Amino acid sequence: MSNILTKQYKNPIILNPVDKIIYQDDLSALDDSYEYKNPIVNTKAYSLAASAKSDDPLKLTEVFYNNGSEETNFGDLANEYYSGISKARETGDRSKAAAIITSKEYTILQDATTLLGTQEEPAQNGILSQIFQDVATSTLTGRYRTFTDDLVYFTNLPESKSPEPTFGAATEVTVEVPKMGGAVAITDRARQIISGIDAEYSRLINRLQGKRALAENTVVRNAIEAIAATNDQTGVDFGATTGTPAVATYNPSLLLWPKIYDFFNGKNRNFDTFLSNALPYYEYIGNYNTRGTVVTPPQAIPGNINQSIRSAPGLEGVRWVVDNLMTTLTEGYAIDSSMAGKNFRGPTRAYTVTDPDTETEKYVTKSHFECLIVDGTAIARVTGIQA
Amino acid sequence: MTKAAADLFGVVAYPSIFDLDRALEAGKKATTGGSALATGRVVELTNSSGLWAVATSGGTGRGGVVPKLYWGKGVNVDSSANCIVLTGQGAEVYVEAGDTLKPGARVTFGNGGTAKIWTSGKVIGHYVGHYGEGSGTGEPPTDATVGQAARIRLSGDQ
Repeated sequence: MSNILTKQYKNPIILNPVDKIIYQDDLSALDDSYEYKNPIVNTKAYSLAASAKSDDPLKLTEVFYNNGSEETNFGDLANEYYSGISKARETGDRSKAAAIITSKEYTILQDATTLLGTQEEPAQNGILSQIFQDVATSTLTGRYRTFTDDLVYFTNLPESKSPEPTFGAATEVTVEVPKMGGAVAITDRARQIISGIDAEYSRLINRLQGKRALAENTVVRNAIEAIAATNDQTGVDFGATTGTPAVATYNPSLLLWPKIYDFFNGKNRNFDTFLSNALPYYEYIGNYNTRGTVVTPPQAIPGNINQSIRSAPGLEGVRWVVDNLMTTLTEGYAIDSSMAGKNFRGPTRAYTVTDPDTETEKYVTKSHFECLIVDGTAIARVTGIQA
Repeated sequence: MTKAAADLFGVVAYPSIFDLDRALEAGKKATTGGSALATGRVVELTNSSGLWAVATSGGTGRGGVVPKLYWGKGVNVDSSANCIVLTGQGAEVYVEAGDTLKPGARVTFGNGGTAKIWTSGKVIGHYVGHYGEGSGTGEPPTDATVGQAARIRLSGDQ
């Protein structure tokens, strides 16, 4: 009997957003929901084990699953790899260590020119998805409900009068979680004749995960920037100066933050996050009113604050999320991060398609993500903070 | 790093059986000096001679694009009579824009193997988007301007 060459889907996996376990994926046509086959690894347990920083960094039996057959006993496989690494460390045998990095053996051919080294351009993938909480969803459409706080407890009731029942109303938003995805592909020939291309292929697959983060952060940015203009609050230019020597014109602690506090307090919300580009943050901490007085020694200002979460003088208990992914310099966003928005995460799938017919291999990852402002009263756009 | 247009010329968009197999066509070319077909150029088949050559504006023959692939040993050099051309209907490939191309608009032969917007004559395909555009509505296609790498979907030829 001859071998039948067919298009193959290798190592298909799917992350269940609800239980955080990666399963073997069934790539046959879907019925009405995703099908999760044998469990492979518990990502939650993995995170805990990896962050424990003990001498036994990976508690493998708690992280990987055995499923009753040699091929699907991922716990045993993990143990095997782990001991392989230990042995490799002892013997200096790099091929064993390489087994856990890639399952493929490859030969680095001589390049015509000598490659002296490589470097990677830093990825600016953003941090905006950290602002809101994740909501795991195994279905791709549904509703998200916010209950309002309008129960009434009556006072000074007359004799024989029973209190009337009151109820909690709610607002809802419709959630549709769209698909996003990326792919990297390589031909067999490229593998054979380009020195080190397999490592490059792996590098691109890893890099794809960063691009996924960027795409998700962009979705969050778009959701935040699309809030209604009725939520606008007029801010003050943090960097405006007057006179000689120049002193800051506006004091945000008097002219802005009380106004923002009022905005949230009137709606029973809590101002806990401010979001802006880097430039307004620099101008804010350089403002004499927030840093002290003109004669105060110069304040140390970090060289690069893009994509970081900072604290700010005069704004206690509020984290300032700085990300240049935001499209305008002149606007910031004051947010109750526990109420305003939610990140809806659906299943994530990944697989490799090898097609012996066209001699190609393609790595595909697809995920489902949406960010929605579920409570429009818990976020305000602050205009004119920079000029 | 911004991807340079020249890096993209001739890159076939999808490594699937559709673009890489059936859409590729083995053809003939002249063997004179300078006859090698540069990667990414839009080429035109002269019907009477059966030879592919870099297209010029106003051409009426079959159209194709020289793909950025390994063609085979000694293929598509000046002295070789053989060339490989991407011609299949629906195949997507990056070419140089000869003028401003609007998303979804038909394109035709431009000078020097570029693609320009169609107003009359031969339609060789339509403009789909730049690199990183047009796979979904998240990154919608924008106009391609002169010299940019524009992904076109070939209309094939009848």
